[in-house]
Amino acid sequence: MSKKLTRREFLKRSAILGTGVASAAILNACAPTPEPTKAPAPTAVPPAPTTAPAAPTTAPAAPVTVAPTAAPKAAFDWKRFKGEKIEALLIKNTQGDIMVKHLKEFEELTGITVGADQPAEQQQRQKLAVEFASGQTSFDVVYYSFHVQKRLFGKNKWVADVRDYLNDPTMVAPDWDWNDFSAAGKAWSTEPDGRIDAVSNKIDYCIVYCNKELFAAKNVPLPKTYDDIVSAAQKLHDPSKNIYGFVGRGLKNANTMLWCWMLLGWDIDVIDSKLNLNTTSPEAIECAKMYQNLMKNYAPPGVGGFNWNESQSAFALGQAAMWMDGVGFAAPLEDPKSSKVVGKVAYVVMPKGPKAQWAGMTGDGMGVSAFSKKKGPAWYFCMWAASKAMLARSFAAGSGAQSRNSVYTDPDALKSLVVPKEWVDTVVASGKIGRAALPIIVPVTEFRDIFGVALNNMIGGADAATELKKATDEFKPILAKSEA
Amino acid sequence: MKARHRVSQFVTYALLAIMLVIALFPIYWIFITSIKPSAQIYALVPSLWPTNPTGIGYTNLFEKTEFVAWVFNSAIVAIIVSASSIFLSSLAAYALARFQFAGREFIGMLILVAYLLPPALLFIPLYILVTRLGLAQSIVGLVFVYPTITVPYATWVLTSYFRSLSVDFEEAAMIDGCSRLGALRHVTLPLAGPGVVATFIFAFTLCWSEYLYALVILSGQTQTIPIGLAGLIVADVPKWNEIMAGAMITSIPVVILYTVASRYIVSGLTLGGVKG
Repeated sequence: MSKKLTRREFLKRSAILGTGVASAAILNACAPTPEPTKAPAPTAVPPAPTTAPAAPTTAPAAPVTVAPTAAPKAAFDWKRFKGEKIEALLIKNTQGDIMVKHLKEFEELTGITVGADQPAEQQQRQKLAVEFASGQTSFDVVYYSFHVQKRLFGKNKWVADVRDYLNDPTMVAPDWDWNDFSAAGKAWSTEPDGRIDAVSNKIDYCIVYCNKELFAAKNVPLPKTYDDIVSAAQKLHDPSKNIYGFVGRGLKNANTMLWCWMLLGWDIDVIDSKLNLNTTSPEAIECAKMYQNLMKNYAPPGVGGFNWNESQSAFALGQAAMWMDGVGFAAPLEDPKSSKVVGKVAYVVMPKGPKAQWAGMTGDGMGVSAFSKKKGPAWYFCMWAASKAMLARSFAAGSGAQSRNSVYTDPDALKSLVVPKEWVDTVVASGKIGRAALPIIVPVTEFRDIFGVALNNMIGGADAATELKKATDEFKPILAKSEA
Repeated sequence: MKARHRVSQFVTYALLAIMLVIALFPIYWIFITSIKPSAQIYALVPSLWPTNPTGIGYTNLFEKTEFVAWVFNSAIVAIIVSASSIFLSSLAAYALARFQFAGREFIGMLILVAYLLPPALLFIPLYILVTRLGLAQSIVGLVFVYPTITVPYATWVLTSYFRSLSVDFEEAAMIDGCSRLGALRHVTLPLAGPGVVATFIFAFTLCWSEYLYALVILSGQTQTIPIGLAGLIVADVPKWNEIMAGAMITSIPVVILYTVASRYIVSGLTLGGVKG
């Protein structure tokens, strides 16, 4: 006997249906986050738990040598995963553009189809955090920044350990050569417990761009020490002629980078291996005072709002005698369409600080999502993206320093290089004194924001020690919480 | 007496003028930034009007980006979600306002709590749900997710609104032969017009400008306006002309909606709010 549905009953049920949709939100909030899937099978050395703090960001770690296994079971075959389809989450930058441009080459080589997405950097980082935290990634392979995301990814084991692949001759192209990667590149790829989470593609070193013409006009030598930088800025600063002694990042967040680069000259890390903040140390205060002096007294008006692009514009227009920033800006400075200093730029290795000479570095690379079900094809993509040919292409495009040593001697890359040979020498020299500038911690953005405000206030005349203490007090609990 | 009245009138208008300037200045700033040459955007002393206006931002937006597709995606999502939210919420709100059943108050409270939950709490579980349903990377996922925000709000506002309406009209309609659903459709909903319009516009605006869920659920090939425009900030460098041109154009539908329906919005929200 079927019961007839009355109108009242119908409306009641409608109410439940409507409110059900609303309350689904609450139920969803209570849903447990699934356990991350396992990374690839254990490697020769089982990974230790990553409870220990990040490795000290001192000199590049000792090169990680991957010993080949005894006898290959089968030959390496690029077509091994023919017919598979993978998703690559890249970034809208030169490396991403080059990969997308040559994607067909990879597809023809391997028979693997690739769906590549290139969002803007900040969007990609937000997306990554959500997808990894959910345990379900829409991508198999990901391009990320070690100086921002290494600790976050490493701590959570979001990217797969690729040592198994590196040790398996059937999974590594014979000419790929892991040992061609620079020590700094390998250090970026390697976690404190020995896991290798990524393949390093690009390394950026801090250098000083100097306007040779302005230096020569006043017979000022190129800087070799921090004192030389200050002295040259003072001598070349002539606002009446629209010439400023120095330019650099003053904008909140971006400026923290500049301070961290400089701080390496005092031979200390901004946060040490035990996660102690050195931000109120005498060295940090001295460094902040130097930053304040250069930016307040010798930089163009409004430098407090300058990021790298405004600094680049000022230098390219010939308005600044020195610009301290990453090594990847040579191409626009040597482009007659956008620069008035073509052929006039000296690419100076980061000068020696009061205690040491280090070139602060940042780096990017590619990893395989630990949640991917197509780790093999994804690894092939990583391998291809960091192959000699691909990194030589990035190098020739002037996009910055590459992780492979061989690109600097590659005749084809050197022949098609769009920047002067002097720049290459500076890159190679910087590689020998490369050291991570930003702390390898999870809340890197918060660190940059909080200390960025302090540095920005200093440009306005605030006391360096007071500002650093205030910022340290604010950041300390954030750091502690992130490692809890 | 007359003089005092004039002074009071002058003060009133002066205050209104100041408030108008405060309200409209951001829109004015968006517009002039969209037509300023790059050098003037970054000038140390900002100018209130560009010396050499340029339309490059608008041209680039249409020629070098997928702006039209972003607008289309946003419009589709906003219209479908707003309409379906009104439909679901009307039924739910009517039942909550008119019927007595066990747990009515509790359900009403749950709806309010669901509305008050910050989206940041929900996006990971919702992403998992959408992925498992195979709806990620498409606007269908957004059509599924957005009602979790719009339906609670719309139900809450409409429940209050329905309660404010006299039940006599519906009863009269039913005595004349109208069914319960007929009374809802032909009598209650038209009487609740301002409330329905206000909630529709709220839902539309929310979907039109929503960023977080769209960022998580959509892929690079399929984007909505907020994600597309935010993507114009490349390597810390915003393309101000294009971003501001996009902001200018995409604010037009919302401005038109609010202008046309401002009368309904005020009465809809105030009545619903007071009686809630």
